[in-house]
Amino acid sequence: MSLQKPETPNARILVCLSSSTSNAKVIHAASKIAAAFQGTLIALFVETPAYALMSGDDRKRLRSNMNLAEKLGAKLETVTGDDVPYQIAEFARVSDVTGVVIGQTNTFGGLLRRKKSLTDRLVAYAPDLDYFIIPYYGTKVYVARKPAERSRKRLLADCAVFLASMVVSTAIGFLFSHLGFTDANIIMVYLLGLLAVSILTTHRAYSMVWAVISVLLFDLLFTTPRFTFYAYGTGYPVTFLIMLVAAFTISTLAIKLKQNAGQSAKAAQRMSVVLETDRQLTKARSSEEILSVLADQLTKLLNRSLIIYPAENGTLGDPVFYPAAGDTVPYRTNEEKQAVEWSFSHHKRAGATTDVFPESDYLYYCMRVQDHAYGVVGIAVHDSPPDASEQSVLASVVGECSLALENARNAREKEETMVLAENERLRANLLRAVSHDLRTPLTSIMGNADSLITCGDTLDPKTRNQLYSDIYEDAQWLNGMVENLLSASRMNGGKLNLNMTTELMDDMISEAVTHLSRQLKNYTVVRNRSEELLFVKADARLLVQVVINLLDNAAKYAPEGSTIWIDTAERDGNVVVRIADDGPGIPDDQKDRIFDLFYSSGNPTGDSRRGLGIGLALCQSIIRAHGGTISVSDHEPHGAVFEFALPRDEVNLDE
Amino acid sequence: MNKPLILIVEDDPPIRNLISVTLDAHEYRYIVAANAGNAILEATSHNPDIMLLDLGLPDMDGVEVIRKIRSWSNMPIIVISARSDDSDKIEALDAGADDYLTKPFSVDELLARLRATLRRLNQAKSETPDSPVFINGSLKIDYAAGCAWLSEEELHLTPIEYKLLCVLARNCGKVLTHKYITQQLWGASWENNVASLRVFMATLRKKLEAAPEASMLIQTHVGIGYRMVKAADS
Repeated sequence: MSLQKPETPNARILVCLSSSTSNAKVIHAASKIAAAFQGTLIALFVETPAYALMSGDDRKRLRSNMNLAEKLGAKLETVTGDDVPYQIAEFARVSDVTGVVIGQTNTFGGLLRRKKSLTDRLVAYAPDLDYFIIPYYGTKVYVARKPAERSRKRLLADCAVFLASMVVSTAIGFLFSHLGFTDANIIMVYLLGLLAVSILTTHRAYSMVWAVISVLLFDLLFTTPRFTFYAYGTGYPVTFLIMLVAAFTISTLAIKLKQNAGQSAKAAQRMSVVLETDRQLTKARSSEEILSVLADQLTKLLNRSLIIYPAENGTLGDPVFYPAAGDTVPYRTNEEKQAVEWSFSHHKRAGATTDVFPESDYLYYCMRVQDHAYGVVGIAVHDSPPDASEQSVLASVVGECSLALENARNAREKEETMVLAENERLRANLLRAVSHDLRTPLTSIMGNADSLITCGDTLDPKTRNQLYSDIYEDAQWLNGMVENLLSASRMNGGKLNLNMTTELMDDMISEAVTHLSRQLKNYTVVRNRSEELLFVKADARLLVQVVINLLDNAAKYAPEGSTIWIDTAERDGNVVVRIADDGPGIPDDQKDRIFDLFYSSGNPTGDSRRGLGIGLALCQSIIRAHGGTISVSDHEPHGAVFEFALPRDEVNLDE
Repeated sequence: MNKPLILIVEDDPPIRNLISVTLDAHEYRYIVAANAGNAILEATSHNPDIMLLDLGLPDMDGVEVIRKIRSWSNMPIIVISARSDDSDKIEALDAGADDYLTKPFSVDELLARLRATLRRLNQAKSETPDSPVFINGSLKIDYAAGCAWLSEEELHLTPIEYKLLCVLARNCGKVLTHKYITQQLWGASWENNVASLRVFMATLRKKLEAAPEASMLIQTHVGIGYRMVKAADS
């Protein structure tokens, strides 16, 4: 055991926690060692079956040792098992521990103990680690002690089991002997009785006594000469010896098995909570969902009242309280405030059982990942502090949730970046397509105007009028394009630019019809209004633009003289607007793509009959941004139907 | 009657040219100003009948010009705005403008607005102020009696509908913003007031539909407000 400086730059120093008074000295020493190596300190508590029997004072000391370790900057960990050195070695191996600090008493007491010292056994398990031995005198190391309050009742029950199994085994032995079965069967019956005693009694002593007595009874009752301790058979001494050894071995194994079963049941329960948390967290998307998973799981695990303070933009939000069944103590928001805020700003535990605001009713954990705190979880303590294993599971559940919150935040940020990139891509495409689309009418306007300027006098009136009206129409088309572009520019960046007000759908339609009165003058417009007042929550300008585009589309593709129907109705809580024409309609293979951006500009027929370019795509994105749907279908017997639906809005009247 | 004098405030020469040629062709007199400073100067020295004001001026915001003019004159102001956003129109209307035109506007539209404004101006001159009875087409309001008739038949209006009708009638010809109307009705302008306003406006219109041309008296200006027009204009 040489005290040699670890060579690894990232020293990870492990110190074991116990309930002994001397443990504090070891923790202090470990903290100094970790500081000297500029390494991290890990405080490990091995929870053995004896932990459950620990007295209140021991628990208190253990807790204060844990707090001390945490205060000194140690990371707290708990493992479960009954072989302490093995657990330490295993933990050291999986978590890359470089050095272990152990306290050791003078080996004076070692004479009485048949086991080797903890250090010796630890070295045997993990010879590669660096060990730092802190000696101390006269204090007890952490061993299982008889619980003081063990009841007399328990003792009586154990004795009853002991006697009963002895009587039953002996009775069966007599029966077997009477039936002429061999000795081996009787030995088996006694061993079976031993097994029952080992499992049913609470102390090892019973099974040990039983082992000895069973051998004596067998000798006394079943070997010839019977009812004496003599045995004639030459093999009997060997039989007795083997029986005794077997009895001891069986009792030891049975007791161990019993302990392990209890422990693994507890560990399994904790593990299942952690796994369940994990499983639910993978499903949770929003911060609210994650926090509700946290509350669910912790309530399941601890059956204590919980309070969760979510953090938004670095400040704590309003808490959500989850009272446990039977917890009637009201939450004192004002008194607890300081502990909560301390925990949040220092990213550490605070409140009850810790050194910071220990007078609080609640123990607070900060949900954090690295330097970012996502909130604070408070667990009701009310004078019954969570034990070490509960705290450890608590810490891991809280840790999982913090990670999930971090992931949710990252996902949100990533999504925002992607939306931004998508917007950027759309904008670039839009510019390209628009500049192409703008050139065509501009060429026509410039050419026509040029002809009129240079040789307007020589043209006959009919040709001249044609040029004038061409210029007008092209300018009108350009104006429509500009309106759409302006709407599109407001759509960029999502809903943020929407100026949502409660609007009467009929007003929107009237406005659009008025706006297009010139284009629609050769069409019959039929309006079917609903009797009810249909309101929607919408950006009025954009919604009018949708109706304008749909009407304009109908006027463009249906020949002059056609009828255009505009129906408004209420359907399943939505306001549905249906714009139909009796023109040629839209072929099925184009219906899917008609709402694609720039679809009509790629249309081979686009040059002769200019489309609106971005019109329908814009309609779709506006309607979607309003939480509605838009679709196209066929009109009977021919023609196209565009239909959009928006959630209906109710108005609370001010009188 | 003297030919009315129009002040054109527009910094863009082709538009200024377009408006002045149009006015000339329809026998209006006009003066022009290319910036806000000149506009205020011309307005004070010539006292025009109507001002056509472009909001995007190089030296001063158009809304500021309206405020300055309104400090001493009630001359009708028709705002011309190239901005697509409604908020600047609303701002201009709330500052005291009477009407607005959005570029690109058609010549017909411009002339129609001028005619309507002039008619309102003439009527205002002939009527005594605070006349107790308001008549517009088949609609008649007796302010003193607190009731309204449509084609000689009394309209059964709720108190708020009546109040709304009066607000519109008193400002006949002017575009009233939602904010203005809700403040007149409720003394405040919350979002829910505007939604309620739409409901009352819809029910009021339903009642006016008994005489088809009367329901046309109230125009909706989406995103901006409402206006009652003179019967002959609608």
